[in-house]
Amino acid sequence: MANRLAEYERSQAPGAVWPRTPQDLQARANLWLQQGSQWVAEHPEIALTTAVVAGVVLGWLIKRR
Amino acid sequence: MAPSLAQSPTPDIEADQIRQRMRAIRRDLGADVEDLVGHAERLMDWRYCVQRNPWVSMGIAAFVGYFMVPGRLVAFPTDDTALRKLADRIPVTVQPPPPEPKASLFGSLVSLGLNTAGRAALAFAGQQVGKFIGQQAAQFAPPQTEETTHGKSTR
Repeated sequence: MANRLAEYERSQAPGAVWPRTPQDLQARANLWLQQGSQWVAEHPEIALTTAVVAGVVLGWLIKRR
Repeated sequence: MAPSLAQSPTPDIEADQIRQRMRAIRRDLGADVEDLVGHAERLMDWRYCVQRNPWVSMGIAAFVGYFMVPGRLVAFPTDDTALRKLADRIPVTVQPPPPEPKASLFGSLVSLGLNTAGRAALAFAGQQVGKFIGQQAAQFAPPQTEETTHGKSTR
């Protein structure tokens, strides 16, 4: 997985075509998940407020429309 | 045979070791309690919980937001015209009650016979039980002699 991540980081150069294989996609998804959880850990108030607002919007769309 | 305390070769050394161990335990206990309190305080901090389980916290928050929205209220019309229209739309059909099944002559005769037989069997069983109890009582009753009847004892 570390190799795939290293390859992904290298492939960020302009003109690089990525992802190529399902493993590339998995590496990219894992990287996004990691970055997302890191962002949530750094900004818990914003993240929780956003989640509550998203839940309210979803509930409004489902229950009230 | 196990050696007694008095015969033990190094009782003072053992006592010193125990004292040292107890002293060390007492010393470590304070640090352990402080660690425990710090850990409990950290667990009570919601930021720490969010940092440890970010996606679970986000899901719980979204769930809470979803359930904060109340459901839609359904208002029924209560004015006369709306109720009359509603009543007109409902077809009113009076259905006759289902006819009760008629008992045939044979069936009633059989039930009468079973009733009578059941009562006769019950009466016969009661009679037999009474007779049996009477026999048992007569068998186990103490014999009534002249002495017991007059309240005198031979001894």
